[in-house]
Parts: sequence; structure tokens; C-alpha cells
Amino acid sequence: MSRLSRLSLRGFRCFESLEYEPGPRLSFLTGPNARGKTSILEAACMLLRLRSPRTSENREMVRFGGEAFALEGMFGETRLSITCTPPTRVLKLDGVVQAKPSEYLVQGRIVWFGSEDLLLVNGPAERRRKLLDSAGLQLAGVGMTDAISYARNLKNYERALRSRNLLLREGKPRAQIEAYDIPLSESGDCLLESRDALVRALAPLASEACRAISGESLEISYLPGASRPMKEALEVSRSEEIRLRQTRVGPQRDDLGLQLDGIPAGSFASEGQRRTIALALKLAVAGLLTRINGVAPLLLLDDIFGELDPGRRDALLAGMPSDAQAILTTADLGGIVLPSDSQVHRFGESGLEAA
Amino acid sequence: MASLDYPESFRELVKQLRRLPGIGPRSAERIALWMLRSPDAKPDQLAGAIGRARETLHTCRLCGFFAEQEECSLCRDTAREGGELCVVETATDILPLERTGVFRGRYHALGGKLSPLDGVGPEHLRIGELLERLGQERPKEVILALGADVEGEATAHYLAEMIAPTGVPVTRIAQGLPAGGGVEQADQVTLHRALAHRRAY
Repeated sequence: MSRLSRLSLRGFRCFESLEYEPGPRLSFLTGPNARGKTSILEAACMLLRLRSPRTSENREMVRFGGEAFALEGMFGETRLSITCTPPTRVLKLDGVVQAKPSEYLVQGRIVWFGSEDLLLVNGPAERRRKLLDSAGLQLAGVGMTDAISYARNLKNYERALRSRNLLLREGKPRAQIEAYDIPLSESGDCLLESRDALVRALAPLASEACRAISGESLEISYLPGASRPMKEALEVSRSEEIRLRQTRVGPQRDDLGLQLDGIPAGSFASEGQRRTIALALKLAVAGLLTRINGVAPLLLLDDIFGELDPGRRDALLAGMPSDAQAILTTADLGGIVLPSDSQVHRFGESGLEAA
Repeated sequence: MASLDYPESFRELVKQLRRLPGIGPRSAERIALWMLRSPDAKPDQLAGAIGRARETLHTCRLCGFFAEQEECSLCRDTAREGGELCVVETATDILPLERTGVFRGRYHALGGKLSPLDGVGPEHLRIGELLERLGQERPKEVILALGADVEGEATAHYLAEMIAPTGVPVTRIAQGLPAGGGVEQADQVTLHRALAHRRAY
């Protein structure tokens, strides 16, 4: 099973140089704020997925005053490395330069959780669509959908949608706008179908994860932004789209319905409940990736305990997927009973040290 | 003391070579040296060929392919008269199709594809010329041989719509599995299209 066994950061965020060796199961990073705990998680995410959950600008990850950062790590038997001198980057697998990211990206999958994910519950629908995409874009599997098809559908759909909306906004002739109906609904139908299947597979996993953490009942449902076939939905919405100068139906209006104990979660859930739901959704994605890919993704969980009460904290740790490797940050581990195979590092006077 | 460099005329040659697509500073210098020093190099012939090509090469008035007269050799070939008309995105798409030896009609290069995000609308393409040709030449069929990306698709649908009133039948080249490719390697969209456009044996 592939684990991240070593991670080295150079010129990354606040670190001039840092070596970190996570354990095979749960690895905790603790210590005061602003020491770089989250940056270590970000580095692991960047190394495996070539993108940061915190920023889309590689420049922002360069240490202040520097010009480049380098990350290297052992994932399973493979040595991954990325040297980034914005705007250029060099990727290597076992020292061999990779011209295209495709080969590199099949190495590792991750599931990230951060405090911003509480907005999955009561924030804009875009966050919930992104959650579904994060699952769709990391699936290696056959049968439901695979990452390459998903990525292509998403890209084609977005391009067709932007083109079509531009033509609508500029009030171009109908023939030019309708020329995009087929490419739009073709990729749109595929996306609607994939997301529907994803939600149906995620629902029991999310429900199970939530029950394990808090005993509450979580139900998720797919709220598609268009009926299928999308071509017909487009025709029905024609007068509305002309009036509003914008495509009115399609996956760009998809949402995920969340019900906790039978009540819509967005409007009433407390902070602790929101954290529980968001974690349950992320653990569901991890469970699905594990089932389809046959390998558990690396869990990168930033400040997971937040406002959770001690009961939920213990239940969360006990409910961590038993086959997954996780790196978790928290300011303080006081009073928390850690599973026996956990490893703890703490930011002390002389930097990161094993506790 | 000024640092030593090649003389001005040589530097100018390197500078011009560097402007060519895919040529970096090192390659430009190597080509320039070879051009001037190698007994095999024929720089005068090269310069002459570039000049002549520039002077004699035109765009065919009808199809948009490369021509040395007002019309290209394909459009002057009367054996191709009244057959099918194959619409492609750019003039360079014509040769690969022609080399298959399967198609014996005429071509029409649009000079690009519709792409609102890049500011390309129907008025930037040779669509008016296409409709005019359809009226004059009355081909048996118009075959759309455009790319299968989002813009190629949109352009094909737009053209089909525009051509419909002329009454000339419109077809589109087949899409689906690449030759030699298995079903299990194909992605979702390709299979969707292959199934949707299946045909009877």
C-alpha cells in the first residue's frame, strides 16, 4: 500500500527547509498557531496533486523573498519531486522529468479537509459541486466514470458554457447561440449522469460516517441543474435565457441536498454539526475513492477538531478509515485519547520535533 | 574592453533564424554556422526558394488552398466538378484528407473555426464564400470534416443550419473509436458518440 513516508520542503511558505516523516497511520502535527502546520499539509497536497487547496497561485507558496520552492517525498516506492520557479515547474518521478502531468497525477490521491469546508454545509452551491468534482477527478475506476472522462467533460462543458453565455450576453443571432446546444448538452448530459452516480454512491458512505461521529442521520441527495436530456431542458428554458442573457439550465446549477435528522442542514446546523457533516462528506469521498481505486487516498485534515465536543472527537478518531494514512493538524491534543498507532510531532523551540 | 562576439552580419542572420517557430538561440547559431561553412549548404538556393515561393504562392480564390495561379490545381481539375464538397477548418487539413485517396471531390477551407472566446465569429470565416460556391457549383453533398472539439462541433452545427436552405445534403465525417483502438480504452464521450452514430451492416 502506498504511503507518504517522507516529505521535504525547501523555500516553501514559512519554511527555508523542513524534513518530515509521517507515520503509516494517523500523524498529528501540533503546536501554536502560525508555525506552519497547515503549510505542511498543503505541501503534501501540492506534491501529490500539483495544486493547493489554499491558492491557485504557485507564487504565493514561495517563501518570502525567494524565487522558487521545491518539494520532494517518497510515496510508496516512488520518489516524487516538484521544483517550482513560478510560472514554470519541473516534475520528476524517481528523478525522471515528466513532460506531462498525467503520468505524475496517477501516483497519489488525497482528500483534504480544512475549516473553510464548513461552508460545504451553508455556503454557496459551488463548494458542493467542487466536492463532487474532487471525487470525479480522482476516480481511476471503471463502471461508473473515470477521471479522464470526467475531466474532459468538465473542461468541454465549461468552454461551451462560457462561449454560449458570451454570445447570449452580446445578443448574437440565435443560430450562433444554438450551434453550441449540442456540444453543451453532450458534455452536460455526461456530467449530470456522472454526478448522479457519484452522489448515489456517496450517500450511504456519508450517512454511515455521520452516524459514527455523532449518531445523527445525514441524508444527501443530488439536485441536478437540468433534467436529462439537457437538449430538451435548453429548449424549455429558451425564453428565460434570452431575457436574462445567460444559460439557465445545466450542471453549473447543480447542488447537493443535505438533510440532518430530516431537516435541511444549511439553515439550522450548529458549528459542531456543520463540522460533523463536512467531515462526513469528506470521509465519504475517501471511502468511495478507496472502493473504486482499490487504494485509500491520503487524508489531509487541517484543524479537524475545531468546535467538536469531546464525544465527537473521540468518535471521529475511532471512525477514521482503518486502511488510510492521515496527517492531521490541531493546536492542542489535550484530553484526546489517541489510537495506539498514532504518531505526534510538535512545533517546539527548535522546530518540528517528535513528541 | 568590449566582450568578443560574432560580426554584425552574422548576428543579424542568427537573429532572423531565431524568429522561426521552434528555433531557439543555440539552434539558430548552429544553423547559421552550417549555412555559411558547410560545403553541403546552398544558402543562395534557399534564399531564392523563399523569395520565389513568396512571390508565386497565393491562396486559391475558391477553396483557400495554396495555389500558384488564381485557382489551385484541385479546383481547376474538371474531373472533380459536381462531386462532393468537403469543408475543413484550415488549408493544411486538405492534404491529409487528399492523401487517403478516398475523396475525389473539392474542398473548402474556412480559415478557422467559430470561437467566441477568442473573438472569432462567422464574419471572420469564409462562410459567405462557401454559400456562394454552393449556389454556383451545386455539389451533390457537403461533407463537414471539422474537429471533434467544442469549437469544431459548434462550427459544424452552425454550418449545417446555414446550408440547410440551399437544399444541398449535409453530412459529417464519422466519429468514434480510432482505428486499432479497443472499446475498453475509449473514454465516455467517444463511446457515447460511437453508439449514437452507429450504422447498419
